[in-house]
Amino acid sequence: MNARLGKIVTFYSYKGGTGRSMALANFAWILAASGKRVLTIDWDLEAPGLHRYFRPFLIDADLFETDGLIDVCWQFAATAMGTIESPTSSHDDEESFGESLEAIAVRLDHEFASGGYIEFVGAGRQTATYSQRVNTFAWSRFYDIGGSQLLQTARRHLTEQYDWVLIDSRTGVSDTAGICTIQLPDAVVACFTLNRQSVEGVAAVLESIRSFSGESVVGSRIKFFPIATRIENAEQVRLESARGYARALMAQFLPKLPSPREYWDAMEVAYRPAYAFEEVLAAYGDATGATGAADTMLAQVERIAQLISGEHALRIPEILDEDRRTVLAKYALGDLRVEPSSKPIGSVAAAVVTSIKPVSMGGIDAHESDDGTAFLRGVLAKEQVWRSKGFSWWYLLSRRELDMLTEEDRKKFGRTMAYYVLQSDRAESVRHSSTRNFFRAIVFGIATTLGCYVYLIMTGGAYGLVNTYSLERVALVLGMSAWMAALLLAASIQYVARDSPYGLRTTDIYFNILLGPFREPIRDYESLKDGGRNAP
Amino acid sequence: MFFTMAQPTFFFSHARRDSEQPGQYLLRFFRDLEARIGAYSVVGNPPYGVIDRRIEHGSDWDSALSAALDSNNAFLAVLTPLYGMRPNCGKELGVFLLRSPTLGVDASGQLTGLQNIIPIQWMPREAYTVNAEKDSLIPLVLRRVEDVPADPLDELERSKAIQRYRRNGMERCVSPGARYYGILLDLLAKRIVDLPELPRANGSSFATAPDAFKQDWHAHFGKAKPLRSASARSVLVSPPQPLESLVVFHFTDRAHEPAVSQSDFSAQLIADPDVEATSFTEEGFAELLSDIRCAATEERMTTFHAVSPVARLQEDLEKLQARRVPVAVMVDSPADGGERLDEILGAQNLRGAVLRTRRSGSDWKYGDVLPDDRGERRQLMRRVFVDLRGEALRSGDSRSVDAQRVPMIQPPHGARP
Repeated sequence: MNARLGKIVTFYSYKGGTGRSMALANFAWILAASGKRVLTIDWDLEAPGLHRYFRPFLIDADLFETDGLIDVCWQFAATAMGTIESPTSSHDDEESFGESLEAIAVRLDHEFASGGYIEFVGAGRQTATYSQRVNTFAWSRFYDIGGSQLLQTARRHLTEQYDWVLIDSRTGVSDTAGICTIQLPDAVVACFTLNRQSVEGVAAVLESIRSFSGESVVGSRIKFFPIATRIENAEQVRLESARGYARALMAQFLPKLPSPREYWDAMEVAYRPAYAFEEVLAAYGDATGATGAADTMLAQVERIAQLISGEHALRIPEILDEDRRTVLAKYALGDLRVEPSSKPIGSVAAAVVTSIKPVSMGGIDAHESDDGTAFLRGVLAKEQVWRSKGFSWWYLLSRRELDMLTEEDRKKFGRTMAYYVLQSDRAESVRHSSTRNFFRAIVFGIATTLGCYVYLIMTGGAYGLVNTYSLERVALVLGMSAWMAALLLAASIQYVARDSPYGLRTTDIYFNILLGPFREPIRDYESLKDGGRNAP
Repeated sequence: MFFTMAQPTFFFSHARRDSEQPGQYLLRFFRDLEARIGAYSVVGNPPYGVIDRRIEHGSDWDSALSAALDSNNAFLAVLTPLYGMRPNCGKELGVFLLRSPTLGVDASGQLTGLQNIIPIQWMPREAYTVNAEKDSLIPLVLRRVEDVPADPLDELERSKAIQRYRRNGMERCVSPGARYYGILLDLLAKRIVDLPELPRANGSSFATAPDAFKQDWHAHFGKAKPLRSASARSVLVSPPQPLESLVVFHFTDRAHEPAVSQSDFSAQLIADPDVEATSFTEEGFAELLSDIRCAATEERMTTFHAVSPVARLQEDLEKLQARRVPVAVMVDSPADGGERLDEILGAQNLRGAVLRTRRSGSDWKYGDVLPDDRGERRQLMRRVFVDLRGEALRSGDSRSVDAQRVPMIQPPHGARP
């Protein structure tokens, strides 16, 4: 049974420092938050840095004990060599290259409500011999002994196991850069800054990728996504000319969109000093929820992710302040561990951590504050599930959950809670009004029919009804009353739909009203067998 | 009372890394296992596990450990290649073993009747292999103890998880949230919870405890030591693999013991003293062999300790190099007119590394002298071995039918005709 195969995307830049790894890490985060299975591979062997973004979620944050890509490559060079040297001996029990990569991938220690996850393959074990291991590995020899075939098999295996495989490529024109941008990917995201060297470099590289045609690889099928990064809104004239030049060079590589503006509005990343100084995921570096904004790194990353993946529902879920503080503290702690001197770290993460005021729980006891945050977390997790799986209205808050809140809490939590309470109230009122309207419609229909009947008796006499022609008239009367009832029903639907809660589909409302008291009641999601986790 | 449920407490025995700190994955595994036991167990209260890191340093370290070993119901031995070398681990196991009422020695000399001991294979299978003898670095007393229950093969996911564990070791299976990790934790936790109760001991002292790896168990049970069967000698080892096996040819005058198995690529193999503690191998040389093997394991290579007389050395070296096997020569004895060896070592086509110990003197012309400090020595060896492997890869001319060229991208103006 063939599930849809995953996609492999390589993030590349001609010069370093363009924010390539940051874009990759954030892209991975958004995908996983939306329920995807993501594998990230740090192929920048000469300067591995992807793991820094995932520090709080890695058991071995410095990768001292974790085998990585170069280690697996050595293992496979040995296997390939062994096959050549002794072709008759069997290698039944051997893992494939893809399986070995999967074996050393470590899952990030973070539970996404949507069920997605990120697995990470580092560049290699960061010990004293790391650079030697990297520099003694001759890729040309690896290809001589069949490495290309191994990589192709690995591609297939990985696209079956994961929805997205993201590769952080080496910069420049190294041999590994060629492998990452030509051999492996379905799409290449090319990051560049707006200086000539960067732009021309990327353009030349994209051109050479596109025109590459080898035995198993055809460069022209690879999609390109150039991203302009570190844009500073300072020197207007220069910025315009640089933009113009860059866009002109990149125009031939853009995907098909109605206008280049549609592309570039999403695919530019502004320079943000905070992110220049340290490696923090935008999901935690920027606020989410009520205090989030469209001009943050996070919002930009969301737009990029939506464009690259083609899924416009991708979004980072709202993250509670407390969770955000915890994760930022873990980032900061990592910095402290590395520099134990008395110099002030000046970590931006640490600054943000101290600046976030703790949300006081108000009506909920300090003792029970864990329950309160857990509750909120659950609510936010549900919102993420709604977004990623499509809205199903029986995932609304249960009455019990709402009962847990006091009026104080509803005020203090701000839009988040009030928003949900309102949805629930509205849904509740929909239910009530639909029942009311159902009965109204029936009663009115009956009343109209009776009224017409009485009228007929009053005007036409009793025999008028048993008259042979009266069948038509009865049919006419019934038709009229049915029509009146339908009008009434339609009117009430209109009335109710105007006030329907966010995300509640109109069809749901219609069914709810038409079925009247036979419709399914708003269920407490907790009474669902699986806790409502799997949308039917 | 026909049935009492035992408290699912376990002693987490492990060999600490060089820096005396348990690794991050180890700690994580410990915590996750405790949590899983908490989920399965009906009796007992956390904390379920004892790990040395939890015990505070102080004068009563020994008694705290002994008390735990006396009372914990299960012994989890986290096997790394160095586990069998650590006297602390041996003592921990020793104290615990003595609690088994069924402990005994069988006719062939194996220790039997071990109860409530669960070994965990921490590293990939290859890490426990020396001289192509599989599992040789797993201590003898633990070699036959079951770690993961037999796989009834009725559940695909479970089979895959167990297979993954056996091939890659538990360290690579520690992946929070991954399905196979959950399955393995379940298997272990259930096993620990279901163990029968082991009688407690009283007042063991860590200091005077026997080292389970070095203890003469036959004498302990008052039996005579069985003779080693001579038929075991004629096993031919599987050949060294290109790039991932390291063959070191030794030239030494210090006491050593020949290995049980035979090789076709050298005259003889030397027994690794860590495999079976022998008093015959001289201590300094034993340390050298151990360091070589540790350095190779760190770089994910398996080791062969070989000996060949000078007459056939060149031929042996060339044959192995032709097969792309990294080779090195370890010179440990002083030069006493051995010009022939010097010639071989200096030959242009000898692409192997030559290493010398300090005691080999200054008469030799070639070779890097190893520092005396063991840590530094291993560091140097690791660098040398990685270089050797790189050389073996680069110098080869073997090509596969699937050989292709590495795809290259071009910089601006790169395609000047």
